[in-house]
Amino acid sequence: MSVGYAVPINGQEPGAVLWVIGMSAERRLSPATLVAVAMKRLVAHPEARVQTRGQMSQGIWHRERSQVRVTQARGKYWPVVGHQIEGQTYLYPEEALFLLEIQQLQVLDAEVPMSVQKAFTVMLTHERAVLRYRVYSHLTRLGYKLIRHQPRPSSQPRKRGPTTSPVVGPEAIHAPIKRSKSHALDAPSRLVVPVAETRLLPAGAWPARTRYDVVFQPRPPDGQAEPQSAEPWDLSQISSWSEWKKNRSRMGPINLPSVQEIRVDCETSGRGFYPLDFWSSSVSPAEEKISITRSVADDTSSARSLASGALRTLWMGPVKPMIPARSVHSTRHILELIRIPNRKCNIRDETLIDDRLEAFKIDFDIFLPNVSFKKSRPGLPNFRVIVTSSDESVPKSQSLQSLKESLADSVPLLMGVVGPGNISFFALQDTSLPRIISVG
Amino acid sequence: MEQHVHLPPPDPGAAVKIQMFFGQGLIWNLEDAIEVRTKHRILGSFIGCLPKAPRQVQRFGLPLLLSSEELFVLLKEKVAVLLEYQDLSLKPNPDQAAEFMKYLEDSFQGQIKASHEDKIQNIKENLSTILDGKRKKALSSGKAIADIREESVFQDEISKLKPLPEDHMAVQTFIEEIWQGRSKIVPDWNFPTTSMERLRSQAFYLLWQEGFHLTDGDKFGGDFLVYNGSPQDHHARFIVVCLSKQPEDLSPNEVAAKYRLGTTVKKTVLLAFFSPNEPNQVLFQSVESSNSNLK
Repeated sequence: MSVGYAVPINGQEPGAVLWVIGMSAERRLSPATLVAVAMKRLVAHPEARVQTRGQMSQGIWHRERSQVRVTQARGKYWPVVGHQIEGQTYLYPEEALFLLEIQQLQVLDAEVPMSVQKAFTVMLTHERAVLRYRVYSHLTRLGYKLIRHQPRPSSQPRKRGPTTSPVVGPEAIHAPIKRSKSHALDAPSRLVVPVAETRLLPAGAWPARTRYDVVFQPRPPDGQAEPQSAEPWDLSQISSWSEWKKNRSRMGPINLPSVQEIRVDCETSGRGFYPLDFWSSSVSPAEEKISITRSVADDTSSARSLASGALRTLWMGPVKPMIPARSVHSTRHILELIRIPNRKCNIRDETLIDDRLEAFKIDFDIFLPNVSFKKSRPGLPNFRVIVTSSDESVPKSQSLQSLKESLADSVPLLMGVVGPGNISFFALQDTSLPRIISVG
Repeated sequence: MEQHVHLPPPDPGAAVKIQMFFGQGLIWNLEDAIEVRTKHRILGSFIGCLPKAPRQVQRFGLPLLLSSEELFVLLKEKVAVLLEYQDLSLKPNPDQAAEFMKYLEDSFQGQIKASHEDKIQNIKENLSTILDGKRKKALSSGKAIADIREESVFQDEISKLKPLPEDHMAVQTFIEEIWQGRSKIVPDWNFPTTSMERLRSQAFYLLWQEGFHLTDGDKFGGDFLVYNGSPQDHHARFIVVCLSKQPEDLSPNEVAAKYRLGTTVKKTVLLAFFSPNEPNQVLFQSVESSNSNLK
């Protein structure tokens, strides 16, 4: 082995060099060199891909699926990459190629490991795949977690049943739940416990919706149709969900029909709220014998207090507020309702729609490096990215609007523009002119 | 201006090998990448991830990605061959698989031997320390130190050595394919086809012939960046913008936008366009402000 000559890389880093290990005739490093590099007694140049077999994951290229079937998973990337098909772990091409490049994965094709060149050729089978891989690799190297875009979870309507003394208002969190055994057994009851949202958001979470409801609905144990004797949950001493998670094992599983639903209303300051998937990850259905029913936000607790409290006279008589209390939950919401004109274009202009609308579909969901991420329930991402080439046109406004309406959340949408030498990210977002509000 | 020399047709064995990849080129061989960058002033872009430094986007490794214009120049100068690797999409045949298995076995046996010799050398270097330790232990347990001899301790330590386990075998992941590397020359590369492609490739070639270094100009809203020397040592001098129309057809606002583009970053904007009189001739025009001191 010998050091050949040096050449700058891309001109980006003065003094950066790319050393040559061996010449082309010595592409295969000798066993002695391999041992020396693996034991770190020889400093390899950045291009050397030498790794001990025990530190690498193994996979097999599955031609029919165009994915890699993982036979041995090692290393620290598995909480983010990989998905299950028929009980086996598979990697998408961009995931497999990245792991292969950084020598965390060996991909076999008829028992012969793929080279980086072969992996590029068989895994990136069309131009768009190349662009997507470059964006994937770029952002993963920066520490972001990327998964292929997942459609929003569908919302299920809440199951409404007869309520018993719903507890409303912020003070309710500390109010004892007064239910007797005999009272609770006949019909499902609903408990509404509003809590401050900041205690419920995970660290670093980027809230996306203004309001969510979480419905916990117990289901009968497997094989049992008859309800068992019930012990109601006592939430009087619980002040946060983390504390509830810690204590629920002491409280025991909920059995029907003592409590059919527990609904938690979480108000926010208007920035939004963490997704419903977060809640299902906080409770293990298998342990607790409860299922998670997700529903669209429709909190009426604060509106109910306005409608039934001291201010109820506002809604009486011929002159009433223009916007009913139950319809709004923040000052910004009120301003949007009374804004003239409506920002949405009601006229469907065909010239504003891309012929290639299909081309502008979202490629990846992006999660920040420091956000708690669970592959099985990733939740709403911090960003979404559409990958495009630098010689493609910017998407038309109607196309973007249609795309955003289909998502119906406020997760920022980015354009990842891949050029020959670099990758740039742009955001095309609606802008509202600021309103000056004066009192009096 | 340096005289352009027409090079003889390339010897496929000696020419730079470029893999055709969706209208662009990929160079996988390190020597070829260095030659293209140093000898032929075609910079390309490294797009690979360095295995020893995966968590950064400042330094990249192989493959070297060549744009269509860069590929055009290398092929026009006949210093490169464009290849298709038709075997790569296929499974390795039994002969190739057998060759790999033999290589793997030879490598593993060689590593066992190299590892064994390495450990023996390690024992030799640390023999005095081992002897001191054994003598201290013998003293504390009341045994005779005279029985502890260098040769017997050395042989004893060697006998304890275990062969390299398979999990500890060092594996080399090749960048360039060596098992299924059969390729054929792409007979016809259909570029340029459109008027803008012809303009870009011609403009790139002309500037390259003048001795400039060129890179892509996406970051500055242009088509190319032009350097007087290596981008490592120079800032870009020009931003080339290829126009599909004549400069006089630009509106004043468009001219102002182009001018501002260059002024802000201290570069001159070069507009490249086809001559109205000779369709295949590329002309350049710079956009600069004039200091109007009208009195």
